[in-house]
Amino acid sequence: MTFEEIFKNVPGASDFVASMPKIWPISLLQDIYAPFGALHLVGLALMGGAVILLNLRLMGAGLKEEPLPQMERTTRPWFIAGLAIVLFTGIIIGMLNSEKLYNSVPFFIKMTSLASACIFSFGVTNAIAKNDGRTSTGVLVAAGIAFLLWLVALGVLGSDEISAPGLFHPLSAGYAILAIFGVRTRWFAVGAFALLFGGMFVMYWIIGFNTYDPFYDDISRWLTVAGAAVFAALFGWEIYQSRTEASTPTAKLMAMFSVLTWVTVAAGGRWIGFAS
Amino acid sequence: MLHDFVNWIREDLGRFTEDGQSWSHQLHESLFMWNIIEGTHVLTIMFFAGTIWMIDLRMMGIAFKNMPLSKLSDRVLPITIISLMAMVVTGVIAFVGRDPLMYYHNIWFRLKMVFLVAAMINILWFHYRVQKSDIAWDVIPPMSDPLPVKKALWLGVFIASSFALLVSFLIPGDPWVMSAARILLFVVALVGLFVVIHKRTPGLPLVVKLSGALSMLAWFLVIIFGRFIAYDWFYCEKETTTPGSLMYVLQECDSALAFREGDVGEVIEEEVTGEEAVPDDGTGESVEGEEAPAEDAAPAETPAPAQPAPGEGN
Repeated sequence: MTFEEIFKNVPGASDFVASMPKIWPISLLQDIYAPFGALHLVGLALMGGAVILLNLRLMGAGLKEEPLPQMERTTRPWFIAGLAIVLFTGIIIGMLNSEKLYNSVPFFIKMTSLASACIFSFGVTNAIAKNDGRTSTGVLVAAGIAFLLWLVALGVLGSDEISAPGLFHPLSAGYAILAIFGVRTRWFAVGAFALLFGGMFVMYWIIGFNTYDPFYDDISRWLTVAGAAVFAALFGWEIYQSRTEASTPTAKLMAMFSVLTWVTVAAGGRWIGFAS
Repeated sequence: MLHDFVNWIREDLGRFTEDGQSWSHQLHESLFMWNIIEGTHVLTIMFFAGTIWMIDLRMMGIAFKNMPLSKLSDRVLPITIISLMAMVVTGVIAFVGRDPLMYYHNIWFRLKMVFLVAAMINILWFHYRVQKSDIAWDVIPPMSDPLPVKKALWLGVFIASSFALLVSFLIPGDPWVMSAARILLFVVALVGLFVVIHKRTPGLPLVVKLSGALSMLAWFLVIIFGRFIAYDWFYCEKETTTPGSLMYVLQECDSALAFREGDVGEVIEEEVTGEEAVPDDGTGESVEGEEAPAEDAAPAETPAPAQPAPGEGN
C-alpha cells in the first residue's frame, strides 16, 4: 500500500507530488538536504526520551515518585520541541524526495503510524496523565481510533515482503519496555527474547547470514509471530496481575501502545531507505 | 594505522575454510539481517539519547527541576546504560557487516568515534570528579531571577548567530570558508545559549552545567556525524578528495586507495554503490553504479538484498 495507490485516481495528484521539490522555498534547500536528515534524528531522540519517560511513569515504572500531572507538564515541552523538529525537518525531507516517498510502502507505514502516535500522545496518554491516571470516554474513543490506525500500519508492514522484517523493531521495543516495567515478567521477557530472536541470529550465524532459502525465511517469520504472541501473553499477564496497583491496566495498555506506535513510526522511516 | 586489522575483519573474521566467506561478507549480502541490526542501532537512539538528554537537561537546571539529580539518575540511568550497550553491540555488528574499510576510511565515522570517546570521558569526569560534591547541588536551591538585561543580551547573541547560521546555508561561497564560518557561528550560538542557561540557575555549580552541556553536545554530534556517514562527499575515490588535501590525510586515503589498486583481498564494488551512495536528491554527486546490484547478489528468483540509501532512511 502506498499513497500513490490511494490517490492514483485523483487528477493532478502525481504531477503535484512531482513538482514538490521545485516549490519555493524548498527548492533552495536541495544542496543542504543532509543536515535536515540528521536533525530529524535529533528531534526523534529528544521526543523519544519524553515519550518513554512519561509512558513508563504511566505504567508505574521509572520516575514513580513524580505525580502524573507533574510528569506530563515536565515532559510536554521536550516532547513538543522534539516533535516540532521532526515535523519541520520531515516536511523538508519529504518534499525534496516527494516522488520516491509517494511510491514508498514504508513511508505509508510511517505516516499512518505517525497519525496514530500523535493521537495516542496528545489525545490519550497525555490526557490520562493530566487526569492523574483516570480515563474518560473521549480518551477511550481516541485510543480506539489510534489503535486501528496502528493496526493498519502493522498490517501493511507485515504484508510487504521487503519491509516485513521491520516488525522486529516495535516487537523488540515492547520486550524492552516489558523488561523495564514488568516486575513479574521481566526475566520471562528477557529469556523469551533471547531464545526467539537470539536464536534466529544464531541460526543465521550457523547457516550463513547470506543464506537465501525460503525454509529459513519461514522459520524467521514464525519466530516473529511466536515472539508477538509471547509478548502479548506476558504483557497481558503483567497488567492483569498488577490490576490493583495505582496505575490502572488501561493506563498501562495505552502507555505501551503509545511507545510502540512511535517506534513503528521510526521503524517505517528507517525502512524507507532499506526498501528503496 | 589499523587498516590491516580492519581488512582482516572484512576478509577473514568468521571465514573458517578457504572457500568460505567472512562474517562481514555474509552480513553484507544478507537479505534483512544487517538491515535489522542497523535499524535497531538507529532506533535505540530514542531510548539512549532521549533518556541521557533528560538527565543532561536536569544537570543544566532546565528540566525536572523539582527532582534531586541523584533520584533521576537512579531511575533513568539503568535504561540509558542498557540502551547504550544495545547501541554498542548493534554498532559493532553493523560496522563489521557492511564494509568495515569504508567506515574506517570515512571522516564522518572517525568524527563520530572521536565524539563518542569525548562523551565517555565526560561521563567519567562527571562520575569520578564532579559528582563527589553532589550533596551541595543535588537539589536545585531556590534562586532569584538574575538580571534580565544580561540574560536578554546573551539570548540575543544566541538568536542572532543561529539565524546567521541558517542564512549562511543559502549563501554561495568557498566551501572551506563557509564551513569555517558556520562552525564559528555554531560555537557562538552554543556559547550564547549556555550563558543564558547558566544565568538562569546561579545556584547550580558551573561544572555541573558544563558537564551536562558537553554531554548533550557530544551525543548530538555523534548522531549528526553518524547520519553523515552515508554521504559520499569526501570518499577517497572521489576526484574532489585530492591527494594531500585535509580530508585525504584525515581519512588515510593512501592506504585505502593502495588497497583498492592492489591484489590484497576481494574488492567489493558496492562500497561506492547502493546504501552509501547519495540519493537522487541533488545533494551531491551520484556515485557511478549506485543502483547496480552487488556482484554476488541473491539468485534471480529471490529478491535482491535491500540496500539502504541515505536520506530516505528517516
